[in-house]
Amino acid sequence: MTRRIAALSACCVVPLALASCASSPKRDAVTGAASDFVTALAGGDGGGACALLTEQARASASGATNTPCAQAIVSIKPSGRTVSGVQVWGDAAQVRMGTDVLFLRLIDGRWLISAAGCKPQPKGPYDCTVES
Amino acid sequence: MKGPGRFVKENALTLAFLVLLLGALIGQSITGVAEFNAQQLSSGGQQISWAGYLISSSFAVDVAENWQSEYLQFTLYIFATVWLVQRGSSESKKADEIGTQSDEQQKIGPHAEPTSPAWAKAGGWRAAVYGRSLGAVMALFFIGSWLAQSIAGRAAYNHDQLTQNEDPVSWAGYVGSSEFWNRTLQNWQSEFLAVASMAAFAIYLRQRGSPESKPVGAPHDATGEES
Repeated sequence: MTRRIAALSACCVVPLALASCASSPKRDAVTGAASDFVTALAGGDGGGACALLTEQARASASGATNTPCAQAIVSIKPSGRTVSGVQVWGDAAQVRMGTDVLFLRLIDGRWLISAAGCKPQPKGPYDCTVES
Repeated sequence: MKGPGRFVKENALTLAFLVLLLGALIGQSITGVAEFNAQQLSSGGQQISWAGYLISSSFAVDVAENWQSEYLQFTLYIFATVWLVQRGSSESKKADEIGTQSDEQQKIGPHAEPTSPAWAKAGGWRAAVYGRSLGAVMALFFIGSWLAQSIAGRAAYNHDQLTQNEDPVSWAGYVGSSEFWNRTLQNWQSEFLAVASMAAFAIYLRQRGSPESKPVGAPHDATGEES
């Protein structure tokens, strides 16, 4: 049997893995984007809220009926602005705010909402009013 | 032959496989970033650079899951061949040599030779530690790689979870998940197959000039050194 010689130790992999973990500025940026979105919704600013959505989420908000995003998005009623949890993994994030759950993606250096108005399901993904 | 030429010749086996390792890692990273970016496109995410992919959890978990299984293979093989034999295999010792053998057979302490390593000559705890250093280091590398797989795997898995509007999981949750064990076991089974195949094939098949084989003319029932 060929005796393979170890050249690199496994400890080299750990920093690579940790590099993908969320840093504090990243969490702050994610929380800020989610807060801006909820603030816009709470103030009835549909246009402002839509500007914070990803392209796919904006299309999803308009739906099959082609209702303008700004008009459709205000159907989502935020339950509060207290952040109870933030998870950031690479270019994807989740923010728990009040009883709401928001999903975000990092697009061109900006955190945008990719799914909102999400309700947990017994199994599988959240059922979201607006999603990518 | 002197200088670098001699060094290369005397270490050709190690150097050749280090070059192959580097080549394979580069190839894996190039194909990996293409696959990763295709997934990003379908999930509405950003494209990443090759350099960005090299420090990503996605690349790290793919590397670590293969490393841990290789180190496990050699760790088990090193320990198993102390106690288990395969009659007729060049990979095995003879049936009457099962176990850790005597100090005389292992050239330890007063039985050491002038060229024996210092800790083998010293005997006592130093010889005990040194006498298990190969298996111990391989085992440490296995545990380290497997731990790295779990950490990087969780990061990659949670990224995928979030892009599919699902909750991320804890480290313990990931280590108990089917994703983690599927990645792990699909590597382990191939390593166990390779060891079993090598031990058995070496009974009847030969590779002229290779120390991994018995001499071409050695009988099938000749085991280990006796061939």
